[in-house]
Amino acid sequence: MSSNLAIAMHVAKKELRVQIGYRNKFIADVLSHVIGIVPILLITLALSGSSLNDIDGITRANALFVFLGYAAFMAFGFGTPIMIYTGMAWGISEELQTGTIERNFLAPVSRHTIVAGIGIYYACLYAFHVTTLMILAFFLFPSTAEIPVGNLAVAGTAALGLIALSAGLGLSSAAMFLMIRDGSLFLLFVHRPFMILSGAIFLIELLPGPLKLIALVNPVAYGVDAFRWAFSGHGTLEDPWLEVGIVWAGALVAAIVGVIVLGRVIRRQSRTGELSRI
Amino acid sequence: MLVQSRARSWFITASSTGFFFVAPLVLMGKTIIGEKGERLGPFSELSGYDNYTGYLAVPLCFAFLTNSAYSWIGQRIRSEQQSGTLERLLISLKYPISLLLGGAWAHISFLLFFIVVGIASLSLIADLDLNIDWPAAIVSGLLHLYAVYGFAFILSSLFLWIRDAFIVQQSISYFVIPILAGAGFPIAIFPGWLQAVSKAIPFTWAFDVERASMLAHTPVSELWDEFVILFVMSSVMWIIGYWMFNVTLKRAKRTGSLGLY
Repeated sequence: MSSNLAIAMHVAKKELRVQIGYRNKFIADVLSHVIGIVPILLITLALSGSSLNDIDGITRANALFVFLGYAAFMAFGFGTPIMIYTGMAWGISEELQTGTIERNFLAPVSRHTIVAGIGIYYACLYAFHVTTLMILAFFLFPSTAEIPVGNLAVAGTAALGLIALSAGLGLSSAAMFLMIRDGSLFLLFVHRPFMILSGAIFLIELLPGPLKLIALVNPVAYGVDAFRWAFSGHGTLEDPWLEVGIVWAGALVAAIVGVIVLGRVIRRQSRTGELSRI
Repeated sequence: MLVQSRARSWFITASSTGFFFVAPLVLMGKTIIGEKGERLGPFSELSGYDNYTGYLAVPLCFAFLTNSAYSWIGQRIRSEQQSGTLERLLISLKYPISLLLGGAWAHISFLLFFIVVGIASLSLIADLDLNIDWPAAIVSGLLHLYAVYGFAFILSSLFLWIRDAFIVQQSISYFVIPILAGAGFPIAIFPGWLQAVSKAIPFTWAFDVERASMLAHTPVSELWDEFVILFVMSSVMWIIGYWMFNVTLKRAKRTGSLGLY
């Protein structure tokens, strides 16, 4: 167990070194969450009828709603506007293209450990995004710094649940990437839908029928809502602790499905030789 | 076009970009304004438009979809580098700039399709209430594309200079167009000095004429001044793009970095 963890950490550090090697991409990954929120906040300001020099109470309330949803969504990480080629599946894709995936899989540990190691790097990146956004929130919206400890517990467990869900889904998405080998299809079916299906910056009830139904079975929507409730006192879906439970249940299911699917895909592709095809 | 025809899935994904990127923002508009427009007054006063869904959807669709132009031409150069065919192409081309112009010509043929699909798919989640003056809308769209490819040439030159140019190009285009050029909001919300910066960007003018021609039925005769400004600014970007491409190409040849990526 401890050797697995040590190897996962080793892979995570390696992923960090690889990413730092792409200096510009690394800087963008580290700052993208802040760049991403700016136009959204400016649109919120304009829709509320305010300007940067004159922000009223209603605008502040609207901006807080949007900001908190966006911050929670950053914990999930998938489908952010400008971090397109980031995540476990893209990590696997890079290993494939550089021809190092087979070498990594020769390590005497479970192959899941190798993929999970890549996931640890991204989990840390997403946690950094949420933390820095909430530090920014304390300055922009001072009321967020005065929340009760109970609410803080809801926010923390919701954010961690979203990160865990992202990691679990990362295993499945890595498997899917290995199967389809097509970055465009991956973006279309896996990456892009999450922003609209989570209600991160809008009310889910405004979605048209079928999309609303899908959004309501999406655990990310509940994690976002619980996080938003914790800092603003306003939720729209369920009881916050129930929402946290849904996120963690979703994370558990995603992890189990991810482990099984990824294991099967890697075994099959190792047997057929597909793994080395790019 | 031949290379791209092998990547059909990219075509499907790019067609859906408008919906997935812009729909959350249109729904955010509905959340803030209210489904029946209950809180429309302040926005209407600020922007001069009552139609907030169209106000968001039209320019943002142009902004997110034309974004593919910036990466597409540069990525084609990178792809030629990776497959080792860039040098072969440069030897056979009389004018190296054909590499950019040819890429732009191929791209423009499906970009218009993406924009139409993007706006049409957004109308599934919100009534965009378009009120189009077709001649003005066509001129606005063409001038916007003229600006887009000028900016794309500038950014594409980065691929001959920077190893991971894609993310640099993404960050610049994301910062300049949705933020500084006010793709989704009136620049009146900026302080005076920032409005001056914004007005120096061609896309600010492009979004203005698109909104006027597609939402307020403003004819060409009333947008003439804006069209001239947009044309001149875009022409300057083409000149800068041409110059930058030649400079970066010469540097890449001199330093031997053409084959490095």
